[in-house]
Amino acid sequence: MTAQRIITPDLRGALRGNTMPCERDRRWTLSTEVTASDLKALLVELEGEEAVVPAFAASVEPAALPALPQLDKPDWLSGIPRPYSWRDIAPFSPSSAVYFMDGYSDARIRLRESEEEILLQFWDKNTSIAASAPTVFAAGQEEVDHFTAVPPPLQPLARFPENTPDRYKRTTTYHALQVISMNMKAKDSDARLLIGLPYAEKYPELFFRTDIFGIDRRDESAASYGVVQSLTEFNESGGHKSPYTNGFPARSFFAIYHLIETPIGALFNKKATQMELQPSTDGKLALKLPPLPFNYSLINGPIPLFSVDEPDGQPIADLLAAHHNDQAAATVPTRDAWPWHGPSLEAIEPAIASARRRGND
Amino acid sequence: LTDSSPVDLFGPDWWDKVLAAWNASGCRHSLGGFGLSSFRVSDMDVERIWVYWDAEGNASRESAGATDVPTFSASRRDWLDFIDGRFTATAGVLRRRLHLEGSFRQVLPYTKAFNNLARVARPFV
Repeated sequence: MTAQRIITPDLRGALRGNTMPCERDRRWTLSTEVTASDLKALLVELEGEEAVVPAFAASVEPAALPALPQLDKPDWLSGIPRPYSWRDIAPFSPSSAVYFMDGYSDARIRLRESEEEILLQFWDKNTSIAASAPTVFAAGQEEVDHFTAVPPPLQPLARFPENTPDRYKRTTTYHALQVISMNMKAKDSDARLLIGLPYAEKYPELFFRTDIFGIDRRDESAASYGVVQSLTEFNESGGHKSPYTNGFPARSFFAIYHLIETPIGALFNKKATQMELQPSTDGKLALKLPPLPFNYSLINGPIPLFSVDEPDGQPIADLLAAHHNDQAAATVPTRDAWPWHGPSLEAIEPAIASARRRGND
Repeated sequence: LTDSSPVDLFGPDWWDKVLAAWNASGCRHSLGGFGLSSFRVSDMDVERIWVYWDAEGNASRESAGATDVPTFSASRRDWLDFIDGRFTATAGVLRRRLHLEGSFRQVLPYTKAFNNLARVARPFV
């Protein structure tokens, strides 16, 4: 760790006694008003962690660091709520990207007619999620499409999910997300959980039903969108925000359209299943992307589930609870998963066209 | 054949005893209107059994029936575990311990009733 790396623009502004991060500039330079001993004292005061100091102090030339006039803790650093610290503040990745993870999901489902509850558990080694470049939310931003690197027949665009909770409609930075592929399998049965590509590949006549998935949302398919949004609302000098002004820590949620195959039938949802990131064991939300290890939980249940055999019929079950936990990044996706495997567009195009015609009738 | 006569497990006489107990039970209405279904044991040399449930839930064994009716099959061990209450009908189908040929949608309203049937059959195994 070098002095240049630990003296972030935020900290430099803080050391000079600025009270707001908007005063900071973006040059990675050492303040000429700081001594190493002063910095050590300040870091101990801010963090209460002796462990970070020796590595830092050893990397600083004391002669290059003149005295600091005063060491009052700046208000904005004092205002970072627990459990976060200034070290959790970092910009988002500046470009769109695709992430791969090994996943686990569970779903507690109640069958309506028998009122029985069943628990399904699924695993995969190849969940893939596309993220847009960071952008700043503003009024009307829900209607804006953002590029996400997803293959056809998915559309390479993502937007704010429908029915996004109001707490996400804040003037700060976010990534729009789209689920590319989730192909999860149970270990004790033939049950599968399909989202994104595998759903579109196996059930194109349903996935592209605009009359089902386009009624309450501006979409033509059962594509699943999400968002990762900064928890901070810093301003640049002049009061404006760029996509890089804010970033981590961040909250996140998805609006998911899923197909659950079971030996008792295939079930799907019309109302999006909202899964929100839960705090990790240290009480923090996302400090990186993907925020491994993580846990998303259902926040808007129960979700009515319909039979694929009667998609226009009454729901036959309800999703009561659901979790999605990922512990590790996927190193090599399995051969039956994207990007090794993708749908044959030629094979499913007639079904897609049929589904869209049905939606237009 | 009397109540105390030994019968072959899952054979026609065994089913007659179970269905007689079912018709005398207070839960017979739970299978009211289910109609015709059949049962098989995949790893035993016993014949396939057809059972008809009328509107009141009274059961009677049919000598033979159509093949396109809901058919439940399982190994001897899994049938015994089901009857013993170690898993429900729905869980059995989900976990592939009970195999259903036919539409689960037709069976769905009656899944708890089949758990009742297992309970009635328990004294006969």
